[in-house]
Amino acid sequence: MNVNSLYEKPVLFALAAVVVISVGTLVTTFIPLFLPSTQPVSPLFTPYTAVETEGRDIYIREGCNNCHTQTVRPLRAEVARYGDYSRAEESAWDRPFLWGSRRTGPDLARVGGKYPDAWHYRHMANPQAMFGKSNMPAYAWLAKAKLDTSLTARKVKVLGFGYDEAEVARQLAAFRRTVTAPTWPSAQERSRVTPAALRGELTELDALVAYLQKLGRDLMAAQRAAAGPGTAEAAEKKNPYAGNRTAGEEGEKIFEENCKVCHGEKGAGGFGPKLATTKHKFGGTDADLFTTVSGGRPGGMPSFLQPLGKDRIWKVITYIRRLESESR
Amino acid sequence: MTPRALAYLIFTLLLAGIFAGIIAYYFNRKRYDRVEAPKHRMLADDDPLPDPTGSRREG
Amino acid sequence: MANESEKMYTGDNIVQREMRMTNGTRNDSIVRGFALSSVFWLLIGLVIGLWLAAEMVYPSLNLAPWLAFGRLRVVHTNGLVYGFTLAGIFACSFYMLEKLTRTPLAFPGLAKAQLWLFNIAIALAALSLFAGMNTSKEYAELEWPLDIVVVVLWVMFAVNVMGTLVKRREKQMYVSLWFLVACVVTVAVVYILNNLAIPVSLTKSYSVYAGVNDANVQWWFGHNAVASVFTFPILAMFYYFLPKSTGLPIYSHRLSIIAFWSLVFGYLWTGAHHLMLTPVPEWIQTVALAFSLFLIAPSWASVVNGFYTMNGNWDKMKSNYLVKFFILGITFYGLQTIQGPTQAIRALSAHLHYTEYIPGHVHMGTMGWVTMIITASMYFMMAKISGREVHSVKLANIHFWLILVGQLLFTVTLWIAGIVQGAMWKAVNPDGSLKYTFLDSVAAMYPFWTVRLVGGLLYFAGIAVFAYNLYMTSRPKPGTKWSAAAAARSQAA
Repeated sequence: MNVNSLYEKPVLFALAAVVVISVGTLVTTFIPLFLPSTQPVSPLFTPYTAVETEGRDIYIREGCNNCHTQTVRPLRAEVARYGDYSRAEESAWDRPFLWGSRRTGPDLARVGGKYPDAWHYRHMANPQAMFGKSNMPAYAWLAKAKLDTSLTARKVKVLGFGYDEAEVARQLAAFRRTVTAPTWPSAQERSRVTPAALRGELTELDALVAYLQKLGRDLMAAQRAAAGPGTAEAAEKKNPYAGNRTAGEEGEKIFEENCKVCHGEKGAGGFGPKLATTKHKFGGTDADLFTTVSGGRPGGMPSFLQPLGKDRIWKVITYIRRLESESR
Repeated sequence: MTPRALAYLIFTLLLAGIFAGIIAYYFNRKRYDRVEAPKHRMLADDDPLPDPTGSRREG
Repeated sequence: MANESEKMYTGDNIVQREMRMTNGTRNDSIVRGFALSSVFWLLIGLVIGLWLAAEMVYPSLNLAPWLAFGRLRVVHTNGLVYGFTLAGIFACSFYMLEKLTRTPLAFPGLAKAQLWLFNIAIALAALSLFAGMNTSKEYAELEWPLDIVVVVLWVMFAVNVMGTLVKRREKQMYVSLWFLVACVVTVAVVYILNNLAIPVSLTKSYSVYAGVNDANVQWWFGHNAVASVFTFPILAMFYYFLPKSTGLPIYSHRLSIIAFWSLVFGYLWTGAHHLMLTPVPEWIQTVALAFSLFLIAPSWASVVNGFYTMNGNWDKMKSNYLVKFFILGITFYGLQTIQGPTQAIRALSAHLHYTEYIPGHVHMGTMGWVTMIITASMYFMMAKISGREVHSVKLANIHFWLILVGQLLFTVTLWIAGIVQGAMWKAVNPDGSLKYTFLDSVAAMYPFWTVRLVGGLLYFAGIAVFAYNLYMTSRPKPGTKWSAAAAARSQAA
């Protein structure tokens, strides 16, 4: 047979093309569909709740994935910036996956629990008010839209999350009770951005914030549990820069960039507690303050050990001490 | 050598072999005229009224 | 068989015979329809692109939900991939098919229906994406009802391609036709498999794949959508319109055979280079990297083929206004296909992935290679169809220089921006802590983003000149056979 006749027989040619494109497809895409390595499941990672599912769909609708990734690569600086690298198991419930391809904004795979809800309400409503140099669009209108839950039960069923319609209704009602309660820690900020008519309802922003707070939370909870109390790095005891004026000035710069957004101008307080005081929420010794800043605290204080390092943390503490003395 | 490494090697050699075979086949002097014919014929496709039997001439 | 075709020719009515004498095709109106649709969606897609570029610098331009960056970016990419590029491909494909097979389209009625359905589908696609109905999978964002319309459109196209090829009166298929066939089958396979989803409503569905598999399937699609929309058909145009506009046969047809099969074989392995250092199994990433590097060879075979075609005739770069489009276009293709594989190397991917470098890379391909080739092909084709020379060679030259300078300003700026950004993300102090906050890296981008906007504006100006020039070329010239044919047609009607 003459191979040249391939170029004289279009149907045969098309079939040959299909065969040729199928080889790579089979090896790199089709066969992996059935390998354990591409679909690992771990009980550590739970499916999304009804509200988180709706929040995720809003994330998709608004195309958040066009600017934010959700996969931390196993690179030193990246782990320091965002948190531990991403595992295959974490995405087991993700249909579609939302790893993204571009970081116009930061990665979000570890954002869950990093900040209090109030931080997200204020930030989503007006990012530039918190970070002047940010170019994120404002999403204030999400707080003005009532959350549509008519399809939630159906969505959860298609996604195979394993709970029924009654459970969906229960979760939605319970979440609504939580966020609309005046005693909820983020109630003030939520009311500020939510129009009066919707303060008693679930809004799209409520759902989106709930979803963001889920990201990476399961992994970090599992790691905390595995580490156990006391095995964390022993806290440093004494500030090497105590009373050092230049270190305090450097600390002020670091504070402005990293802490002011939550703790307010000159530590006057905001989402985070007031720092220009001698009464600190988690203790006021050098060791206490270092432990708080480096390891973070539940309820929205992120860990700064990796991004800032010990040296800069001590400089910030030096600055906080100055704020204390000024407050007296 | 592990079976896995061997499999990679054999696969790579196989592809390289097929690749070399295709090159040897098409770059064979005796197929030159036929393989290169279309590039000349395509230049003449604006002939106002193409001869319907013309295409069979080279076959 | 021969008799049958003969009969078709002798059975021409006067209009058709006149029209063929203009050197156009038998279905000029369809080719012209797709070409003008393509230019229309190009202008829309670029205006949106400019708006996005401005939003990067002035976030207050996110004026309404449907104008927010996240939604708009999707309209921009889909509008230009599916609106501009596909319509350009359809126009050039139908033209090349008739010419290279010496046969009229097998189903002209179907092609006309395809033209209408296509424009309706793109308009609906844009509206649905503005409304936030999207699946989030890049370049496959359309929700399932529109996916079905896309598949129907593709089947209509495939039927005409294969039907015309089967009916053809030219024994051997020229290289351009192979790339068309490869485009038809590859798009069909990757588009359908990646878009498999379970609907929950008319406007919402969930992918059938989860997590790692969804990512792997998506980027297998993403990469090969690029191959089969931005590479195969554009190469088909290059291989056809460069020889036609110069009168020089392509340097080596047999080299293009080797290039074709290795390109079509190799591309499908490389999707995971978009997923370097993610949870996708390491061996899939490594295989993708190996094949990405291999792809330099067949890609450069086409570059070499183009350059050698001009061997001894380089003066045509000056004397023939179209040649520079094709030669610069294939040069950007060559740079693109070096840059792409190097980005797949893990160490470089670690630095460059997720930064502005990647949009810089993509835009050299689309603004340099794809648009250079499509716009030049359209000049040639439209002049043939309307039986006249291009409206203005001077304007075509202005168009060339504006899109060249605009594109280079845009892409080179973004490469530098990406390298800076990657370096800032990576920079650590001696104690291992980070040197810059993320916000520092955003603030450092503003000068680059401003220059990118300027590059985009220059580019847009060039395309506006092109649109005007092409439109003027597409009008029937008074006193020519074409206008006589058009007059005869309107009289008959």
